Amino acid sequence: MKINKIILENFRTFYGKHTIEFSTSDEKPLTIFIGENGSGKTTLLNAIYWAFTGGTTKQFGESNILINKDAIAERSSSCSVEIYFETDTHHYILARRTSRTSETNDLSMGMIDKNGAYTAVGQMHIEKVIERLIPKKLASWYIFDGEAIGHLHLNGDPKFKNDLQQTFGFSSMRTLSDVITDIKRDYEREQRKQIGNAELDEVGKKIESAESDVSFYEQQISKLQSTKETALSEIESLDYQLSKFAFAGQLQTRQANAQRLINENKSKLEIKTLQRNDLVVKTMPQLLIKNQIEILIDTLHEKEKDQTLPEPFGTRLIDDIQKMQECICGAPIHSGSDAYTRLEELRSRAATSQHTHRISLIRTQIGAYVTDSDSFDSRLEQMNADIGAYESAIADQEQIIRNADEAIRAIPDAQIRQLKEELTKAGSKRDQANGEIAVAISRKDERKVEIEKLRNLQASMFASLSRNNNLTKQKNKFDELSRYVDAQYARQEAEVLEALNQEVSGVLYKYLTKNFIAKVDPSTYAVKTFDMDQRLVSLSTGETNLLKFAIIAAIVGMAGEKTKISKVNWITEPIIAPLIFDAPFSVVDSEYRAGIANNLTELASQLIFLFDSDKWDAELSKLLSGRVGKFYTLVSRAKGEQKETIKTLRIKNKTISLNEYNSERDDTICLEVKI
Amino acid sequence: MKKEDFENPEITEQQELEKITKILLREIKERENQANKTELKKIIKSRVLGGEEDEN
Repeated sequence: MKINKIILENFRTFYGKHTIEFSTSDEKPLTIFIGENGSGKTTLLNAIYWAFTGGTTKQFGESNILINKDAIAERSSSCSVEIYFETDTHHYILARRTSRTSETNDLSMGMIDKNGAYTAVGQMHIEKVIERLIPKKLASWYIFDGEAIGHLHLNGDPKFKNDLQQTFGFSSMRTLSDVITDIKRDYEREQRKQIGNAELDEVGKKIESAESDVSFYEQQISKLQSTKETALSEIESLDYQLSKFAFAGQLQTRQANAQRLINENKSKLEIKTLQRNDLVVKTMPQLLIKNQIEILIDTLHEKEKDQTLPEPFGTRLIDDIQKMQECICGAPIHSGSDAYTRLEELRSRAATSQHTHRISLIRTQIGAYVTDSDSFDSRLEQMNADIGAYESAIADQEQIIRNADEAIRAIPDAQIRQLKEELTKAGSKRDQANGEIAVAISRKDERKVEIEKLRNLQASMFASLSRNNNLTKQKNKFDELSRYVDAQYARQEAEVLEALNQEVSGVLYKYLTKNFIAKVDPSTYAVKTFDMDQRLVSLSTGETNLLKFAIIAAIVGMAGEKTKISKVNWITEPIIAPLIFDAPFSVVDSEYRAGIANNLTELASQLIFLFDSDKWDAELSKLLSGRVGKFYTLVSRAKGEQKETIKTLRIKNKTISLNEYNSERDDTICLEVKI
Repeated sequence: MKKEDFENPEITEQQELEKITKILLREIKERENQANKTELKKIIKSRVLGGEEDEN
């Protein structure tokens, strides 16, 4: 089924009449609606849901008020939704209307065949036709809020199995098989009655009793399998809860690693500190001497300048000569003579040269000693930086140890013990169920063998005793039909499950970095994932959502015969309906968004996505662009003055406003954007 | 259909079975949540036997 068009009239925020066409092209199966919060996306989705089912989704508030408030104020007392849709054979028009005074909905339907001939569907048959095309019970599989994906349980939930069986038509096959079996029994009773043979009657009763036992064992097996699934779910949940505490071991490993790093850093710190101390001890005296000498030299220079040089050298000799008035060579030197004056000049020169000589000597002596001190500052700075880094690393690791200590102390031993006890109990429950299932299966098989023998006996007795050939002929028809239906049921179910396994595994293989495969349990339809060594693996929430979307895509793909990996030879009529998602990727991890979008657009016959404008981005636009057949914006209009910033959407170099103020009324309009 | 298919009565029989099964499944699907087993038995018997039923 594909929806061609919808006409809404006074339906909630849609005042007046609104006609919206959907894309039905195989190449571009996607119709997109974008609107801000409260613009009418959920209303549009619910208009479709309501038209088909008469109900609304859980997310649709005030579901009892469907008529537009302004329309009511203007004395229009009803609202309606018309849906134009098509199947392989017919075009349909479905209209649902409700009024303020009526508690029920008026439903009408028309069919247009290949030749354009219109036939009104009788009131008695409308529900039947809809039920065949999109059963009420399954509508939420096709028309739903993206967040509802979380309510899909894959752990053997009976609802999942029932829904899937109905989607693929298995439930109809099972009903058919049961009804045929009943008809066969009626024939057998009738035959026995007509023949009136006590022995044959006895055989017939034995068969009925054995069949009743088989039916009992089948119910018992089904209940036990349900118990087993519950136990398995409990085990899964307990394992998960315990896994949260399993990090104690990881914490201890982390502590050991931190301690090892502390030890390494401490020994490096010790070495570096020793090196620094050594440097300081060795260089400090040099620095002190260097410093003192500099002071001394400065002092000498100062004194030299002031002519207050210390005794005893040059000046003492000059004093002596002048006092003796005789040179050391014996020549007389009198006061006021030229020689005396020259001596006076010598006094200063003699002292200066001596001191200059002494300074020079000191410089030479300390020169080699203080050379090492020149790079002292930079070396000390580097060493201090190294020491700081080691100390900081040690502090970090010590914090890790303290945090781990705290986390380990927070692990509740009692809770772990309790969880382990519950796990043991759930394990016993599972083992007990397994054991009882095996016993029930064995008893059921024994009874089936007995039935087979009794049936052969009965057949030969019928052959020799039968007086009513017509009755036998009719019963034979149902025997043949029964064998055919049962064989087809088994074949088709096996094909569907195999195709589901392959399609979903294909998606996991393509979009997960790990090589996981999915398998559907044939008895419970629980979907389990395995690694390449066939070990059971658990998926993260993001991976599970990818798996769920892959299952939905595979289901619609198989039903619509669009799967590429595997095909199913259908004898039933599976449900082929459009997928209509409000906020389709709201719970999807961004890394899986592309995978899910590709998968859905490849496999669904028709897709209608309603996006919140905040969630629509360039990546999504690029991702879906090749598959979009129709593109709409839902514009919220308000009566009053502008309260908030006008939200806009930029598409194909055009800026489109998503809300308007100063409007005639509060409502929603739908604008097509040509793409 | 191939020539030999006409000569093979089994194939025709299979096709007949497939045809009637599809019709019956459609009948059931339309009534899945409405009809009870007695009604379904009546409908199925009538579909499978056609006029034959009256002979009983």
